[in-house]
Amino acid sequence: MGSVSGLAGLKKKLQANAKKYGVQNADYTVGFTQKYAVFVHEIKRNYRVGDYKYLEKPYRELHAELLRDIGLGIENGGDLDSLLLKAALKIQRKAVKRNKETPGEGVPVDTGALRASSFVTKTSDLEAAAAAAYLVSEAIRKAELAKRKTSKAKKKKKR
Amino acid sequence: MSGSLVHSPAQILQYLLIQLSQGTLPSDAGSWPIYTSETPNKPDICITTLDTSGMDAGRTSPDNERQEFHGIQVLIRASDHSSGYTKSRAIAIALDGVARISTTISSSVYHIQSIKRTSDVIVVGTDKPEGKRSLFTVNCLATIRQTV
Repeated sequence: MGSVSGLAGLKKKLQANAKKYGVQNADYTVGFTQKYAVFVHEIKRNYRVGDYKYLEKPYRELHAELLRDIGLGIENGGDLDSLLLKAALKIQRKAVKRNKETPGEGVPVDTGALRASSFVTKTSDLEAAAAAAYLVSEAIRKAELAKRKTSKAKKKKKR
Repeated sequence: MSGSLVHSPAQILQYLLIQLSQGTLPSDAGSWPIYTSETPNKPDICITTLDTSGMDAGRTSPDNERQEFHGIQVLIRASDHSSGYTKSRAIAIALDGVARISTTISSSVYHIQSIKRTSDVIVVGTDKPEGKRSLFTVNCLATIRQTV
């Protein structure tokens, strides 16, 4: 049976590199917290603005570019934590960006709540960040629905 | 893998799933019909394969051929949560086992090198406006080459 030698040495080297580049705790999450975020992301519908797979698509498109940026950043002495944050923000920006020339891209917008529920956070703070983003997006959703109700009532009154 | 494809990756996966005994062609009127590109309103119990965004995997040397993964989504719709989840899980496991398999559509032969599942079974919920059917998705990236 074959054996692999030098694993202990490799482990030590990897640990030293992890320390050098600040890898510990360098883990970011990009997400959307609205209740219907998963449904909109996974189910294909004809949205007026945006499209389904609004987070997966930018990630896949940017994947190679982000890896290159992180590699170059490390080579130039940057720290991994800030490089990962930059990459996460780039994905988020592409997901929520509204472009008149390409209305079929990015997160679908109706009340604006889903778009507002996007967040980027250190994975260790995920729960708190997601809850905060949800509260903001819910406030936006309720305000927009109230606005629509008022304008509907006004139109009815006019008639 | 790259190169031209006469059928879309979603269509290829439709035939591959039939080959893996996970469903039937809609024209065969069997259980778990597999549609592609669009999900019809009926029957309640069905599978749909959809093309999604792929991923670039660089170029090979020395031929400079572009390598890419094709993105595919498998959407499973069932009349209840339990049977839908069981079927979705079976499809996910079947996809995990795909390695160097060929599948034929009409006169075209496709070699599927591998399928990388990018998610577990995602429980989407129910499609309430039309009914109370349960929806599940499985997402994957496939490397496919047309051989004939």
